[in-house]
Amino acid sequence: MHEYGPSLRRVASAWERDPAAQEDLLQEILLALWRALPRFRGEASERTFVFRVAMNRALTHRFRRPPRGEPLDRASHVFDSRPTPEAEATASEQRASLLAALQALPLAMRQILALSLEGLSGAEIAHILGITENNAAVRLNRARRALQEALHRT
Amino acid sequence: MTGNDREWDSLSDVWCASRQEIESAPLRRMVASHRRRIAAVAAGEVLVVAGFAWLSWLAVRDGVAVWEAVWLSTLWGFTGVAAPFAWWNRRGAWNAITASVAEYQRLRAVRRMRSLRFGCALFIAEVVVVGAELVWFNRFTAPAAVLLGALTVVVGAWALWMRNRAAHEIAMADAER
Repeated sequence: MHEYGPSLRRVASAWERDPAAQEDLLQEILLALWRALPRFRGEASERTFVFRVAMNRALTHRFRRPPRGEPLDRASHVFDSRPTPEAEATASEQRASLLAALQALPLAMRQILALSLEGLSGAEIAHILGITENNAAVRLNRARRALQEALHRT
Repeated sequence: MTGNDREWDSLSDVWCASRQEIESAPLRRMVASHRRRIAAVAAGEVLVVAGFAWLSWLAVRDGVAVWEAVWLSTLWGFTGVAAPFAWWNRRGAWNAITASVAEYQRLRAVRRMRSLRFGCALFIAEVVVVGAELVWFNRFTAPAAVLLGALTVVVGAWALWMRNRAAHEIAMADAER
């Protein structure tokens, strides 16, 4: 949990804009992991296993609770709710812009971008999403371009 | 390393800079509460079956007419078909959570459609069997016919809603690909 906790929290923030919904999603992911862990046989790496469960749980969560169309400017308040010292103000602003740009993208792009931002390789992303590495590379390329455009707009 | 790669790495650094930990105490409480909920649901299911069995036993002990015996057998028969399906289908949902996202989406849609088809088939079988029994025992009165008709309308509406929801999920899944 110490290893993946911050990652899972960041992934939840990419899927949900509303802080309460993020917390709900995070709890659902953690419960799903708790239930799924006995089925971990080591066929894939622990990291891809954790992200597979997280992505699948997020999908279920999203299908059950479609977004209510909150304004994007709320995103700047939800990424990291801890008070930040002045020295971190710029970094905090950058994180908020990145999150706002990410949340403006379609779900499939958010999904692949969140995985890539977490530092997963193309092969790992392909394994998690169940697509070929080539397909993952094409989708990631497209999503990165869309993110850059969204970042320039924000 | 290209300029794009450097830019991406810096975005990744910005993204990963947020390292808000998950506290273990609330997580432990959540797991404990989830365990209690699972146990409560299982106990509830056992209680319902046990209560139903007890009522059946009381009815049989006091002597039942032929039509009552047929009713009881019908109820137990349909419960015996529906309960294992519900258990098996629910279990399948949890097994699928470790599959890849593409496979999970497909399994989820398949599971929903399977539930829908099973629910509709079971309902049609129930209406046919219950209708036949009512006719057999000369109890197919106007109120019984209205009740069966109303139930059919409600279940039909539910099936349509479920089908649309499943189709929407599949369309959303396809759109995301």
